[in-house]
Amino acid sequence: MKFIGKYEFNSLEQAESKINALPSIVDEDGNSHPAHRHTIVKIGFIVIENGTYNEEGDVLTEPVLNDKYSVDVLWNNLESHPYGWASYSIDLDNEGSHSFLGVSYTNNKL
Amino acid sequence: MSNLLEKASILTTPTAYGNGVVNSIIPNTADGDFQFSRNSFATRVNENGLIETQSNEGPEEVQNGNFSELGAEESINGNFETDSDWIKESGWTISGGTANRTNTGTFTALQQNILTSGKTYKVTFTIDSITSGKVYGIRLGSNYILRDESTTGTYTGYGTANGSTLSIMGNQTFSGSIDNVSVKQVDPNDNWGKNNANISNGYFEMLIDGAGTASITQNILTIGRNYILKFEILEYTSGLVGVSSAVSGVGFYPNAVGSFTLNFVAAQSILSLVGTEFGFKIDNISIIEVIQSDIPRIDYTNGCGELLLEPASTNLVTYSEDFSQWTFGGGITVESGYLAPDGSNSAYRVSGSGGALSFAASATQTQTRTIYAKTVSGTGQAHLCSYFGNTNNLFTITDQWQRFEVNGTTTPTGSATFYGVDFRGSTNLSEIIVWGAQLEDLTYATSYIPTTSGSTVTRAAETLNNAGNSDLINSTEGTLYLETKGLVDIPQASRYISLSKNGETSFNNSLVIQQRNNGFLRIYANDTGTVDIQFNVNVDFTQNHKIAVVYKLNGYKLFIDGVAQNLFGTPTQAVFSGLDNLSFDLRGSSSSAWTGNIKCVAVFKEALSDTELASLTTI
Repeated sequence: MKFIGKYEFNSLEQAESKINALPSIVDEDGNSHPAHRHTIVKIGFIVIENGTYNEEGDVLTEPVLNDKYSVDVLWNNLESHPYGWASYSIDLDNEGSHSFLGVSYTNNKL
Repeated sequence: MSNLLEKASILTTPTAYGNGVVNSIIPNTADGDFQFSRNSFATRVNENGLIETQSNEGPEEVQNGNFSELGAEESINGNFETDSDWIKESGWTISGGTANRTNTGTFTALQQNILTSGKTYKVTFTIDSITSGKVYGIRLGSNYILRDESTTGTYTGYGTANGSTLSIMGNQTFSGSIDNVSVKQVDPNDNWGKNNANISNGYFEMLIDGAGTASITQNILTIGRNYILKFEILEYTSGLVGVSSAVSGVGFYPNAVGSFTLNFVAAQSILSLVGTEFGFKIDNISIIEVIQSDIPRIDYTNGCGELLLEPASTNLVTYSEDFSQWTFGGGITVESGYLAPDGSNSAYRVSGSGGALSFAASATQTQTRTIYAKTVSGTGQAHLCSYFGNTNNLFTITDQWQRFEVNGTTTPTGSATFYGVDFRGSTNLSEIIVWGAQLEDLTYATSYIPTTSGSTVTRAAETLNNAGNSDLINSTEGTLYLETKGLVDIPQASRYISLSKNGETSFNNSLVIQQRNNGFLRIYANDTGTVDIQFNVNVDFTQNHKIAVVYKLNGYKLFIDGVAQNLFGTPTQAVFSGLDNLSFDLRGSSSSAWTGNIKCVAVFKEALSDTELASLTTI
């Protein structure tokens, strides 16, 4: 079963600590790699209001960003939030600013 | 060499697959099959060279989606072979194989009671001769179609009857003859429900004029199932087309001429296309159920079918095919409706000079940008994907579709923006056709990920693992053969293929092929001690390679493209126990999965000879 969770963390560091706590494996060089089939997308600080730019790409007005760090996860065979994730979960009635190709969030939300 | 491959105990080529499985050729049981996983859809280049979404698709669900179905002939004696079956008002006669009418000074009709009120009909007739006046029109009950036909010729019209009588009405002065009257019901099986709408000329037309809504419906969906909807808008004035109620959570309101595709989950059983304001003409409505997403991709980008394994990636450009949502600078104009690499008419023609088609993407200087482009005709150059001041984005574009890739930007100017095309700088074209923009946070491009709305979209990673058992994999000696091409020469993280023992949590009892994150192909074997590197070779992974590894106590060999490779240092020769798993990752864990194009993988239960290895791996 596939479920999608959308999360808003207080910071990038907090998001990474949650992600790094998921199962991982260490290779022969000592590098850690995820050992799960969840698809984790670090969306970052979502643009609430688009910036404007001239044709040279120069910023005319800076974009306005959310103060929360957003992460979307397509959980593989997981039917509840992992420990420490639930309190940062958000519930939208639409797909939001990011989606997984062909998998509807509103129909597969955790 | 084919005889050599027949010696394999496990042999897989990308020829057979199903839901969540890649089947082996040898053995002819499921023991050699790989498990395949990808939790989202993905696209591939199919055998016809078209980009398509890879999924397991069911049959066409829509009945009469092209609105071309017609019922049986309703008119009787429509070719007037006999003087019968028609009600002839004043001035009408039937003789000589035609219906003839003389000037009567009044409107009179030739009639048959063959219609059903509320049904829509296609009516065809021929005016063989005319000496005065005109055929005033064809009445379906009291509704007129085909008005004021005053010259010889064959005429076709569509209309909905509000009574049972078909009337061919001559005006006061009409003198002439008609023939070949044909009347057939449109959508004879009543597949479509209609509200303020008509089916005519082989399409669906919304009959509204600035206010209200019109709709067409078909009860074909199963709640909760995943579908792909496709349709074409042939004509458009203003307003929106919505997919009503059947779609949950997806904003999808096309408002232009073109081909449109929507993946959705049905929230009710009725498919309803709804239009507002001045309506549309719509054709070729298709609904396909998507049954499964764990379907391996056999990709034909390189000309022949190869199993494509990719990491997760996100297209950070929204509206990747809808360039009307982009910014037009310096007088740029865009026009939709051009043939695209996916076979639809969703490509855009971009015209202008001294300006750019751009999208504020908050991009970085290290991300990879791609776009499909072709010229309207001939060959020319244009800056694609990034600001014209970059030194790596001037491409020669032909009248054939190509995907152009820019790996990072060379100037910070404009780096946050995705320039679909920049007509400034060294560009010598004033118009091109573009489709499918993509921005990825990788150092290389992966397969196209469509973003049909204002959301970024992620394709999930693919894993291929857990083939074999201890009967098919010999622990004391054997050969692992692979033909593959990587996605990039130096990956950001190491990728693995492993022969291992199920249940091992360390590197014990593992033979590993590693595409290392320094561009080297490294092969190491471990029995119970520390990792023992056997080979370490600098390989260009952007090219296709044939690789064979022999494992055997004091007998390790590596052949790449027909050439034997030297051992690395002085390895300790490992002895394995219980090898029973072949995976394109670390020991079936789905971790650090191999990525690239796979043409063949085989396991032999014996150490092949040098001659065999050279033969097997020679390109």
